[in-house]
Amino acid sequence: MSLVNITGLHKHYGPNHVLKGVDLTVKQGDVVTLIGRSGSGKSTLLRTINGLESFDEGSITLAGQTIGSRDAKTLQQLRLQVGMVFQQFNLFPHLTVGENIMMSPRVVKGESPHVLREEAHALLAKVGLADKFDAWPDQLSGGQQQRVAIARALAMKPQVLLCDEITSALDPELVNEVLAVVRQLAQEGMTLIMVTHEMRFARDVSNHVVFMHQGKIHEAGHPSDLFSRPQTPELQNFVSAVM
Amino acid sequence: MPEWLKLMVESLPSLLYAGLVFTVPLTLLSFACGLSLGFVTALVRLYGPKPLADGFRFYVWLIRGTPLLVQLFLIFYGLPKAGIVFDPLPAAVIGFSLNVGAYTSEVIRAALLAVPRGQWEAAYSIGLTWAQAMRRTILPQASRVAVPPLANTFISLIKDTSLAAVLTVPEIFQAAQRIASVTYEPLILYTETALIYLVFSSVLSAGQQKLEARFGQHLHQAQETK
Repeated sequence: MSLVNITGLHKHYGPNHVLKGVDLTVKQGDVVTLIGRSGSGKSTLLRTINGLESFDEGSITLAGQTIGSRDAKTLQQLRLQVGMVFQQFNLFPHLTVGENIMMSPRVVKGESPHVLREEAHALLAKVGLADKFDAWPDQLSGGQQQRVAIARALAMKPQVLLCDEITSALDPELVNEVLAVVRQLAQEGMTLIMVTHEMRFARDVSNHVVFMHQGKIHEAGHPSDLFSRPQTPELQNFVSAVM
Repeated sequence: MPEWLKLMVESLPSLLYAGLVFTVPLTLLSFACGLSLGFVTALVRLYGPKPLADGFRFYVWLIRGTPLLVQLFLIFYGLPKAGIVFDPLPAAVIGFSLNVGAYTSEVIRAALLAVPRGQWEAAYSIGLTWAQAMRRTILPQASRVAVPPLANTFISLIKDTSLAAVLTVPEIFQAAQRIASVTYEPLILYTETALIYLVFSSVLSAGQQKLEARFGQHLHQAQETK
């Protein structure tokens, strides 16, 4: 059964037509990677899925619910189902690691402090930062901050996790600790949609790779086919440039 | 005891009384009202509908572009001609609040804009509403930025309340004028008055440091470990 269903999606930024009719279906447990040159529309596409970007035409449904409603309440309910991890981490700097993770369940779901703390500790352990509950974000390395951001996104128990170039702002030696967490999530059956420049990781982890070019899905398929036998000259160029 | 010191000591109770009964309440009330007005103004100008935002922009332009003393005269001596009469103290509170509102609205607007857009996106992405995002994530971060310039406005205000003397409010400066006019010792009396204002504003500066420490908690912690 499809979890995310995108059909005929169009978006304009002023005169720029950045998404030109995108269709994409993501099933429960899928790990989908969006690749392409910068400006191809992959990040914009990702951000439309939790309503951080609006769109002009087409539709997105998540578990049967329609996204794109202008109604703030509907959008907020929807965002609880869709976790998002950002390139720049975007942790709340004025709150401790634990408070960052507990924010959503505490404020939105009103869970009891005891349950909150227990779940937050469990999530931190899962991303390998069990001892950082009381640390401030500023005290952590980039890789640690990003793992906290993943834990924060998971705290609301989303149905799908969006990852927007989550290792692009990291020093090279910190990339793997973050990818390891994502890989583990994928193995546990979490539905993931990611934009990444880590092609080897994309090939290892995803079961569906989407190559975007000039606002459209240019080529898509299983990573083993897509990377070893690209059909279009654009993807051939891209693959030979990045692999 | 020298003559000048004797005069200072003798006049101190009257000046302190005027300060604690008029200057301090006038300052606190005007700052509270002004800050609320400034907050609303900043929110409407940033997030409100265009016509309303334009209205508040006009208000800020009007207040910032005209002298405070003229505004106070207009409210207390001018408006009665139009049938609107205020007692001295309310007239002063209205004048100072409007003034503080205009200046603090710019401080608050800048502080809200200083919080990176990613903070809004992160708050939205974990399902917070606009109001929850504002209260839990944006305002605490904006507050840290806003405290020093707001303290500036506060300290300016406590000194500006001396202008209420011309609206016949018996605050410190008016009390000093009254005593100076009968003792013929303006140098001593106004020196003493200046010192009292200095003490009041020093107390505010100390309060500012406390607030900054509180809102910047995460920064100090981080610096200690580096």
